Amino acid sequence: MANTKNQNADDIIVAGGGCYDQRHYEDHPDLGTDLISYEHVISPGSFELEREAIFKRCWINVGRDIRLPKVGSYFTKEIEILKTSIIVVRGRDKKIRAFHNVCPHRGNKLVWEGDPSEEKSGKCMAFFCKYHGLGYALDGKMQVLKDPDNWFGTQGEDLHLVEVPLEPWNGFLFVNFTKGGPKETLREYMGEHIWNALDDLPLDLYTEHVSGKGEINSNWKTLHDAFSEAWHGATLHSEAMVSLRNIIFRAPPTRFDGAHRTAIACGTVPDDYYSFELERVSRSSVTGTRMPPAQPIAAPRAAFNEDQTDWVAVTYTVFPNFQFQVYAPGHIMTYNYWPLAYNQMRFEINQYYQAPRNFSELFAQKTGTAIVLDNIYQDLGTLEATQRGLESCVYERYPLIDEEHNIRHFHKMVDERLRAYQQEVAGAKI
Amino acid sequence: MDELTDFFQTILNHIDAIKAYLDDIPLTEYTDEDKCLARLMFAFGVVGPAVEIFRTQRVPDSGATSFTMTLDTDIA
Repeated sequence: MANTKNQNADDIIVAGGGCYDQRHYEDHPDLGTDLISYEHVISPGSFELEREAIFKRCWINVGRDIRLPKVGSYFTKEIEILKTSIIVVRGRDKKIRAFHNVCPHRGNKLVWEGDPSEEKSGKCMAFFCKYHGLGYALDGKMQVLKDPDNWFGTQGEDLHLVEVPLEPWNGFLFVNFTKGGPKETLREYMGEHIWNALDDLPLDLYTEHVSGKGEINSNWKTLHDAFSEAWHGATLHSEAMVSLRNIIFRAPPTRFDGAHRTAIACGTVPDDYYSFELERVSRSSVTGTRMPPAQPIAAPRAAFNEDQTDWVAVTYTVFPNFQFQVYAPGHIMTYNYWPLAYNQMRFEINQYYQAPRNFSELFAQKTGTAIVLDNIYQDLGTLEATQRGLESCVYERYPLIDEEHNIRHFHKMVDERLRAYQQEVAGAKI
Repeated sequence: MDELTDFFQTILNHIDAIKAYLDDIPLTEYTDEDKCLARLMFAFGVVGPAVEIFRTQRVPDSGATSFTMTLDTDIA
């Protein structure tokens, strides 16, 4: 292992470059500096409130359209906090629609296999209920009615699947469960900055896909918090992030657009800097592959400085539970945080690459994925420790440092929505 | 751990030659032997963090965690 260049950590700046004197609380005085409560992380009641106040009212990402390449391609998505499952399908008219995954005759779950709690994907020209064989077309309408003479009036032929409003953002599919329909379009919900953020990214070239899924005994917001600051990397991931061990993180300013945010990790990693032989020979690291994609990409539209050139990653956080990250020199990761209970969640990670042109590029992608995964294991293991610590209720409130202002903002957004919903319900009872 | 380390070191000693060989062949034209070699390299990438970064088979402090990754694309 003689060839690795273990440079002095002082020589390397991988994050926070040029922004060390930034004090976020001065830019965002509305976020305050007080201790915060984690009551909504350890409370079953808050989990129930989040269902009504957040997940039944926000646009929720359920996947990407490349999973639906052909007419009839479909996948199901379990959304446990809403106690529902949906089918997302490309119709004969090429349009992508979402439907509640429930047969309107007797309420059986329509599309599943083996275990009804498991998700399923595939291709078909109609959905047939396993119970009585009723068939529904790709647009949700009744297609095959069994024993048509035995139904009362038009009750059978009137059966159709219930559509869930769906809108795409650069191929990423969002659904909305607001009672009576969405109060705003996805574009209005996101705001113009995030809506336009990916305009220059050649997403159609990102055809290579790695997906990961795990269930963790932790509240969903605890992981959201972990991936809302990079400060923990220097400690928790010190084995892998050798160059960060002595660095004090000071992230550049975050841009907040309502409940959403854009954050950038800037800095540069010299092309010839690697901490391990594995990284050097594969040209990958803890942030994934370091090989430029076939079509190089420009720096993504970051928070404030459109001309930012020294960037490591840009993260677009779409409230409540979706993050889209562009990593230098050009691969993509998305995170979805799904609540399962107040102290349990499912985490989904998806990586997208441009097609590799040769073995070395494929090797870098695969090895990068392996390194990323191992570091995520550390994050997830720590989460369970955090949840246990919080649930002991030793402390009522906790301090956040200035670097953790994204967490402060996220919890404020959650609190505001829970409070507004409670006031709405209280008002309705008067 | 000793076996992982031996495997890692053995591949590492030949890695430049293996990469040069596989890079000369289009990804869609691998023979079964080429695919075997490529998968050995992928295994090298998987065990690498255990050998070099964590120096233990299991990621430290990850005892309660289970996580599955699925790669949609692979060598043909």
